[in-house]
Amino acid sequence: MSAPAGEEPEEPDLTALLDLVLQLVMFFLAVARIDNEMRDQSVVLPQASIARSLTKDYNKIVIVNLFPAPPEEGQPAPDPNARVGKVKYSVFEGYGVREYGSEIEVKNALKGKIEADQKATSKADWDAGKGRSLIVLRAHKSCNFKQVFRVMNAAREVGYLDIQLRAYVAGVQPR
Amino acid sequence: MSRQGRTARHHDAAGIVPRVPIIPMLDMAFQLLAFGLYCFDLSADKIEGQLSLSLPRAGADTSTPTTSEITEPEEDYTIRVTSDGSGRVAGVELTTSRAPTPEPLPRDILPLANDLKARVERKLAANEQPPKLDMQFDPDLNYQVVFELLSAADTAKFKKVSPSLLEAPKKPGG
Repeated sequence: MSAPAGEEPEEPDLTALLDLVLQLVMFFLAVARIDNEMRDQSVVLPQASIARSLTKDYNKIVIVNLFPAPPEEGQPAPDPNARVGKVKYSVFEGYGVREYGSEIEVKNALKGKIEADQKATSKADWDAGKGRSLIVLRAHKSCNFKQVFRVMNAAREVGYLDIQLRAYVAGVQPR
Repeated sequence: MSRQGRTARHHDAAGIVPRVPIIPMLDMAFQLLAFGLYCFDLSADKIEGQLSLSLPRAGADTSTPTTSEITEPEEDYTIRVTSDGSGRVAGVELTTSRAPTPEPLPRDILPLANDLKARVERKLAANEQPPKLDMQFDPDLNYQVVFELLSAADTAKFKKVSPSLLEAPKKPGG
């Protein structure tokens, strides 16, 4: 339908649409950043032939990544399938990631977290085993069990009761 | 510039209506949105699988036994996995609180999972509780192998699966 002669054609108000689209862009940028931080790219998870799909039956989550220490300057990058010598740790909780060089530092970080959990939970719930964050351990597939168990032990010693291990589901390759 | 001059120029510009180029901005925003949608993997949760385990409590278990525990103690299983020195499995053996003599189990994942599943099902068929399982791994074992073994045990629906470090075998008379 053409505009009557002498009147200017009406234009749709695109400003509101632009606002909405920019909001969506900001949302995706923020979410993608958090997602990448949670899934540390230096961790190559084991490939599981039988593992359950992820469930969201938790309220609070602390992700501990365990990965080979990066090579020193001038050294070649290690073979991703070679057995891991020195390891590093990163802990993601809430809104940030922190890297640690030893399991003692990880233990201290987890201790701070469980103390915060305890403060935020009633005594009755805490004694019933509720209110604790879920510890998710994402360990590199070439680590040995001793390296992985150190993190489990640190979590146990500060008072966590359960742990969740992560692996790539069979037949699915990460990007 | 004098004050009079500035006022005159302001009057000249008053007739010009500034326009923001909305349409190219919208085009660019849609491009960014498409890029974000492509990069943000909506199926990321399908890449990773989970395995939930219990961490054994530190120290001895001092819990008060219940009546049923006094009349008929539950049978707990222990699986010991040894390494061949290169991170692979050398042997898998099972002991239980009722049968402390080690019994060899399959080393491959699927036969092991089926074996453990059959044992738990036999327990359930006899109206017994599913046992707790302590899996002791050699510290040298590769994590990939450990994860596979743990997930095999997880499918068997034990009451509780706890990983731990392999204890040194007890010396006779020690």
